[in-house]
Amino acid sequence: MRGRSIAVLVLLTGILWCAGSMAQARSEGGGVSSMVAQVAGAGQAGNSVVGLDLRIGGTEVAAPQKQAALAIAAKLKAILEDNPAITHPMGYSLRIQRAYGKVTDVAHFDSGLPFYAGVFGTVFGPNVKPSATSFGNPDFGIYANTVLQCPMQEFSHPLAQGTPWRLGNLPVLQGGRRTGEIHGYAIYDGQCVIVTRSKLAPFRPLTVEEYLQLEIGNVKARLDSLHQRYAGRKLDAAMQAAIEGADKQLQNAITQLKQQIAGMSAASRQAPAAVQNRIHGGQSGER
Amino acid sequence: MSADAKGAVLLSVPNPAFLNRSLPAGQVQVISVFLPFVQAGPRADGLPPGLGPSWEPAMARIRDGMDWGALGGLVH
Repeated sequence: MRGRSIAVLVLLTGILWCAGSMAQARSEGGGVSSMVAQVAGAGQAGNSVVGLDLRIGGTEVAAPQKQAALAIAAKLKAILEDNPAITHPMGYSLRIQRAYGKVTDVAHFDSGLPFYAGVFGTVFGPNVKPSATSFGNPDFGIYANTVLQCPMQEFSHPLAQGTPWRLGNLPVLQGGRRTGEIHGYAIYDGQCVIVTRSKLAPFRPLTVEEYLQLEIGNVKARLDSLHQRYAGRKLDAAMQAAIEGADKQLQNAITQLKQQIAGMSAASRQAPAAVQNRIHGGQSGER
Repeated sequence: MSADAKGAVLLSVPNPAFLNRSLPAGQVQVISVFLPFVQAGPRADGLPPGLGPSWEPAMARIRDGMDWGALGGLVH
């Protein structure tokens, strides 16, 4: 989840344990320097630290629900602490922290459940002794009752001018493709395992028709903005002509998008929408 | 573009029916494990950069040491 803004609030004083000494934490580096150290120290014993409990997503969770959330997080943490790769890291150090929330940090999505809970981990070079009292972007995590802590990226169409797309109250995400399986559980995007007994998929593709309707919505918003901006203003002839030209262009774009939908077969309208990846981590609006 | 084309980034939304809001809040319906490199091979297109490839051995060790049965046992 590096690079994503994560709104976390330190709430509780944590109890920490360290695989190594309890000396004051040295500087934490998750960047290039620690990566170099990680490669160089592949066989070196690292440090494992438990950090403070964290609330994710900036929305409060009611006190009774918080206790229930932390109890679930504790079960997940216990499973992690049975993992020798967590308790005895070799070639890296790490910090794990219980976490809970109601609204996710990515996409600010509220699933409607009272809370979700889990543990997230941050990795460091083997020589680093992570601080238990600081927080940062997690690198891995296990969460109950949410699927949006798997870091996918919100999609923002160029027409939306930086505003992530939403289909009603649902965030439109880049990813969500089922790519494999491990121990009978589905893997999405090669990096997210969904452990569930449900027969339903956690994500569904945005359809081509939904994509085009969202584009129409963006163009209409631009049209509305244009009208509001110049409503009641006295304009000279050149300016008036420019605005009328822009209005016509936007109206034509809406018409064309509607015609595009009307000309499609039902199967084409329901096909999954995809965009071209041009830059790693980025996207274009081209379908 | 086709969702199956090279370099295509699938767009998706959370499935609103996936989580059952009538169940008790403390009942675990799903556990999502975010673990870069849990699946060998190149990363999917269009995702945040995340950890670089030098971290793959560490993530693989976490994956291999995980008690997946215990995780599954928490889910009802």
